[in-house]
Amino acid sequence: MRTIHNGSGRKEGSSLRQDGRKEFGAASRRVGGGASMVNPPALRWMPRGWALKIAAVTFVWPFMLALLRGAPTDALALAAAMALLFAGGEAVARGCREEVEREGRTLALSETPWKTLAAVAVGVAAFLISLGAAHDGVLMAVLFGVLTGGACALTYGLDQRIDRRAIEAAARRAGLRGRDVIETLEEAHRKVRAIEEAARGLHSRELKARLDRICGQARTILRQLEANPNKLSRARRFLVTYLDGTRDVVTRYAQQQKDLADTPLAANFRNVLDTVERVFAEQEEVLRRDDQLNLEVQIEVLETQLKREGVH
Amino acid sequence: MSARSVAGMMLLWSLLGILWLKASTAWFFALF
Repeated sequence: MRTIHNGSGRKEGSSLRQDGRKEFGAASRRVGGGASMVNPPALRWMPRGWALKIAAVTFVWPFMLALLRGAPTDALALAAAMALLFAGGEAVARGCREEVEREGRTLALSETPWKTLAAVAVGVAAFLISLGAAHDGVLMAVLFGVLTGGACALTYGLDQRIDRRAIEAAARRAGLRGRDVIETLEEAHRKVRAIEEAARGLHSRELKARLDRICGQARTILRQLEANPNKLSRARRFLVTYLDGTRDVVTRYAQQQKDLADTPLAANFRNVLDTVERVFAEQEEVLRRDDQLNLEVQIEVLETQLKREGVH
Repeated sequence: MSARSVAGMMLLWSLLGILWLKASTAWFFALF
C-alpha cells in the first residue's frame, strides 16, 4: 500500500525579497493560463440568522421596562438573553455560510459546530427570559429553553458531520490508506483556513478578494482530491509547497503590512499571489482533465520563481 | 425554504413572542 507524506519536514521560514521581479513575467508566460485562469463564480448564500437578531432587538422594550421599574434581575436576564440571541444569529449565519462555501464537502467544514451552538444559545436565552424576566418556575423555564432551542435547530438544521467512511472507501479503491488520505486532506484544509485567517487581517480589499479567490481555488482542488484520492500523488507539491508557502507569505505580509505598503515588497507580494493563482488554476485543470499534462515542468519553473520572490 | 424550516421559524417566533409578551407585562401581573 502506498502512503502519503504531507511534507511536514519542509522549511517553514519564508520571507519577502525585493529582487526577482523581472523573472516573473518570463515564468508566467511559460506557464500560460488562458482559459484555466478563469475563476469559478463566487458562491452566493442567503444571509441566515437575521430573525434571531431582530428578536434580540425586540427585547430592548421589556429591558427598558425592567430598568424603569428598578428590577435588576429582570434587566440582567434580558440583557444576557439579548446578547445570546444576537450571538445565536451570528453563529447561524456563520454556520450556513461555511456550509455553502464548502458545498457540503465534509472535510472542509469548520471544527466548530456553529448551528448547534446557536440552538444552545437561543435555548439558554429563552430559559433566562422565562426565569428572570417573566418570573416562571424552573420547570417552565426549562420547557421554554428546550422548545426554543429545538425550534432553532428545526429552522436552521444542525451541523453536518464528517463522513469519513466514504472517504476511506474511496481511498481503499485507490490503493491508499484511508487514514493517511484523511490526515493529508485535513492538514491541507487547516492550511487553507490559516490563509483565510491571515487574509482577514489585511487592510487591502483587493488583496483580501484575491486571497478569497485563491482559497476558493484551493478548496476546489481539495474537493477533487477528496473525491479521487488516487490523484493525490499528482497534487503532492500543491499540498506541500504551495499551501505552506502561501500561508507563510500571507501571514508575514499581514504582520508587516503597515511597513510594507507602497514598497517593492508589496509589489512582490502581489506577484507571488499572481503566481500562486496561476499554479492553483493549473493544478485544478490537471486534476479536472485527468490527463498527464506536463505540470511537473511548469511547477519546476514556478518553484524557482517563488524562491526568487521569497516564498521559500 | 423547506417546510421544516418554515415550521421551525413559526414555532421559534411564537415562543419568542410569548416570552416577549410575558417579559413586557411582568410588571403588570406583579401588581396583583
